[in-house]
Amino acid sequence: MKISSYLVLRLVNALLVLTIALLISALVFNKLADQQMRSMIREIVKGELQSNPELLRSLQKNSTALKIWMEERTKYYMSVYGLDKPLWYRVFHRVVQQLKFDFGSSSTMISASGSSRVSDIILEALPRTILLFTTGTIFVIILGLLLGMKAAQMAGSTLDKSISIFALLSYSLPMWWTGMLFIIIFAYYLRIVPSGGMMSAPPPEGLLAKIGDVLYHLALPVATYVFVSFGGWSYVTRNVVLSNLQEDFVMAARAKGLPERKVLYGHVLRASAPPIVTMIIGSLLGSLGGAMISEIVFNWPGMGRLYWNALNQFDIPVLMGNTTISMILFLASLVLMDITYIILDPRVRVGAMRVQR
Amino acid sequence: MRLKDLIESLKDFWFEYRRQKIGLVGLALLIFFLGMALLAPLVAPAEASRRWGDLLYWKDYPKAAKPGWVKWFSSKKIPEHTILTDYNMSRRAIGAKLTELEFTFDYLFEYDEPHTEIILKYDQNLSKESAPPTLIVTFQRPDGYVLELLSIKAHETGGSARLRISSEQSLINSVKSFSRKFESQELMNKLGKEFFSPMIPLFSKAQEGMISPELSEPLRGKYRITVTFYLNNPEDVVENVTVILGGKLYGVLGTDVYRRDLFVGIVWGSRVSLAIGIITSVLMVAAGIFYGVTSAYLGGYKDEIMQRIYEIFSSIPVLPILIMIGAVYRLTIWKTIGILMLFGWMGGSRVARSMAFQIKEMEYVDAARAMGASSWWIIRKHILPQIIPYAFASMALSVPGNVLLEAGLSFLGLGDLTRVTWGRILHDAQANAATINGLWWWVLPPGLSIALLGLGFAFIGSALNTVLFPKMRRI
Repeated sequence: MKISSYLVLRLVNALLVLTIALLISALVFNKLADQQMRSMIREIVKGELQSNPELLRSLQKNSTALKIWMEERTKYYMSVYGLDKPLWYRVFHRVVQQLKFDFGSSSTMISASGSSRVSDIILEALPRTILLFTTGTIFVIILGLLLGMKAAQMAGSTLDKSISIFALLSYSLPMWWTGMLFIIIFAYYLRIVPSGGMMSAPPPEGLLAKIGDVLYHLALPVATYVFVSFGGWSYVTRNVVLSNLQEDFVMAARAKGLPERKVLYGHVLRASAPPIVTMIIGSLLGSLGGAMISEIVFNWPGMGRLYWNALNQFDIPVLMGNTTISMILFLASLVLMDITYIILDPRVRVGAMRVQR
Repeated sequence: MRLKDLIESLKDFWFEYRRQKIGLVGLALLIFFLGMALLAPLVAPAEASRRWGDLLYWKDYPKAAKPGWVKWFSSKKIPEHTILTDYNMSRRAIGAKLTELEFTFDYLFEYDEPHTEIILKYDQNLSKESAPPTLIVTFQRPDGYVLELLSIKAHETGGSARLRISSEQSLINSVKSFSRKFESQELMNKLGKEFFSPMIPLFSKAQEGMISPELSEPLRGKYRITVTFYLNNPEDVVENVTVILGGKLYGVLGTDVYRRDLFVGIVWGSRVSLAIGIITSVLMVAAGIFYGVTSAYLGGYKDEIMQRIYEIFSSIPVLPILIMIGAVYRLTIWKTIGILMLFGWMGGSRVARSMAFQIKEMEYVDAARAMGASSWWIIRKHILPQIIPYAFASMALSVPGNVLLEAGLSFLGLGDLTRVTWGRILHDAQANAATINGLWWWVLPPGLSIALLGLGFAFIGSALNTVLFPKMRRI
């Protein structure tokens, strides 16, 4: 199999996953959406009757005529909104709509700029989540790689052992609880950072001050994310690097008289990159849920909190749109990881790669 | 395998395992939490867990009290939650029918801060025609002053009665007029209105500043609380009189703002976490291994299809879906386990598949097949025995993830509401802003329990990996 066809396969796979996730959410929300639409139709029909006094007068005399008229109008709107269609059709229809990025407008929520279009609401939250987690991930990568390399170099030392134990600990540490703990320590007792939110109220004047304010609010969530994630990273790095350190090419590089730093970062890390990248896929999957709840703990107005707020208000269009966009982002990063793998590992033959994974 | 062989191999295994320090720590943690879950009924009845959300059940506990052991680290002597049940009773007939029943409680107050509330409880058994008794509560301070805290018609119906005396208006008025004699006008104007808290002057020296939390000085010594009932019928009975002096310290782990004993919550919550963690992991890994081995055994295009299905399921994030389903339908722990299974059954199937593939190519398997062994026989005799050790390690390692998922779900308030869970305690803590108000004892223990339980299993899994797969030890 060629690399290009492999990539196409991955993309199709991602699309399938997206469709399945959307199908599940459409199914779960269908009951709620039905109830909401039915009550909406009832309101519309009532409103129609109220706004037409002549009709109201003529119908009030005859209760059966009123009933028939109401039923007719309700039926009409049911067909307009597609409620007369079978369940599978409506679920399918909703999924197709999502796949076409046709999110519609929300039922109750509005964006900060006052728009009730779902795409506007999501576009407002998305950059904030990306800001939070890319910043965190950059720190985690740097810290994880450095510490992992150091631990591999000094295998068996105290540093190495403590990193291994810390990695196991952070493996079972809820990110959101760590966030709560950090709020108590750094926001309540030490009072060096705010306890939540993204900006002070009212926000400071001037662009620079605003950026500073956001960074100030960003510190604690990012610190939490890094604290919980870097242990696993360094542990994985350490394991992969350690197994590579015993390879012949390392001995050859050392025998050539290369400085140790160059051996480590030029040769070993290069060879270790693909498996490390693969490992991230798992950690990404695992941290997604925790990251989502962490946004709620820190009151960070990103996608996780939007999802939660929409869930509390049962705003189904927002929920569906949020699911779509989040899944796309998530799957895109998985595919991106695959591409990175191919770029990093020139030996890659897809068949061999699949066994490794 | 004969029983003797089994014991022998277990002995061998234990000999190896014993040398894994983290494995022993993990085992200790597991035993600790298992013991906690098993002994939960000794700490509190099951009702405490079932009625965790029912605030009436917890009304006799102090509000937001710190753990009892805090007193060893505090420079101040913080009042403990005190329940007075020892009393002297005297009974005296006043008229033909009227009977005076007097209960006196002596109490030595030695703290630096006042108690937070006074609750009076008693059982009464009144004959049908008699009018309810009159109830008078007096409060005698070490400095000799006597305050009448309460004088009311008692609880009308029979049975148990319960009065939060410290929030009765008559007590507040009585303490206010007492304080006015000593307190400066300025402070009285400032604190004497809606912010007036009667418990401070009650337990403070009668002098200026007695109503202020900062300026008041504690009055240590012997207090006497007298509860008098004037019964309208000599046959009426009042008994089991109890006075509760609300404290700021309680029990092993303190209480939350809803007065719930957090120790009870932690102990009972361990059952849910353990059940979810263990049951889900065992089922998941078993299903995954079955899937992986089947896939490897079938091979060819069937294997290809099964791997595609695996890939799809393994890239669906579980928590968002759990949250979605939890918000629309109420989830019990069994339903939660079901959904976790539905989206997590492939745990371990990848490794099981590649192991099965390797074993399948072995010569002894070829030999077995040549001798006419059936597929099932080969799987049972050659493949499974080699995969099962891996299964144990993999089960242990997947416990933390499942515990975290359940905790996350409960934290969002979408868990099982018929029992207490660690995540639910944290949900209430978050909902009541425990973090930004510094109620650390509400936040710390549940999260620590989640982390330690997970850590225990992670340690066990990691030690098992080292023992069962010596090849990995190098890494």
